[in-house]
Amino acid sequence: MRSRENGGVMTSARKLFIYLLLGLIMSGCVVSRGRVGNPIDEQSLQQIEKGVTPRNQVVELLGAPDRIIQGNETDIFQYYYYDAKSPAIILGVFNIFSLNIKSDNLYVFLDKHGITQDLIYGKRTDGVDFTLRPWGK
Amino acid sequence: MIGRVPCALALLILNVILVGCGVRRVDFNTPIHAQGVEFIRPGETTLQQVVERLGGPEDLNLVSDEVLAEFRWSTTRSASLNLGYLFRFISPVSPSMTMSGTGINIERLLITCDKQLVVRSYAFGKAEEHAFFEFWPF
Repeated sequence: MRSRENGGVMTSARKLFIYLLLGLIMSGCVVSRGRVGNPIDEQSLQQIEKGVTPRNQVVELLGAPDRIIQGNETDIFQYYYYDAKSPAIILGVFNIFSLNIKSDNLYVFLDKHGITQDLIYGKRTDGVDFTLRPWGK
Repeated sequence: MIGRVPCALALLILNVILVGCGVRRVDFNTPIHAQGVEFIRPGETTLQQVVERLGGPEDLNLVSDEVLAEFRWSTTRSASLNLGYLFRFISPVSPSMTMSGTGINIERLLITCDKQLVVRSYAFGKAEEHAFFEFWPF
């Protein structure tokens, strides 16, 4: 009987210890996330064909560009998306904060007739993480 | 007992050092190093091949018969030390006496391509590395 009681006390003590430890670890933890623009729709991107897709169809598929770069008989539509993840430990007397930002960029080259010439698309936002690293390179 | 004294002293020193201390860091994109662009062969490698490895350029410009692609990344480090916290040990009131510093490193890689988007040349911008701890504002 006493042994069962002791077992119960031990379990409660262990639970309390785990809650305290968890509370200590989680105390002052802050996690936040921010995004700028809309993620580039890769399904729509696959429908754009070089030498075929006209300007209006590009806009229908991807929306209005975030920026238009004009040059010698060429227009470039730029679409961008930024993703940021931010972990922090705020203990009042000692604070560590990290903000990791990555970007996706899509450039659609259009010739003088408004037909897609080329596509340049780079995706980095898959790699954005909640790593807390105020130190290091 | 003797072993506990240095341990307690070390903890006290650590406490005094860390009290009122804040470290912040902002990373924008993954840094690109010289080794990371060794695969680029001017006259052969296309911009699309570069983008597949390095991600998309932040900026693209058309200059005469060239396309300029600019890849940017940055690391911002900021640290602050509130010396006012030390007064908490001796006073019920702790004034704010903060020293802080921020170092922003914006780095870039510029790639020039011809009209067919084949790389002609590339160059890194120059940027000096800032120190990790920059408390001293003077």
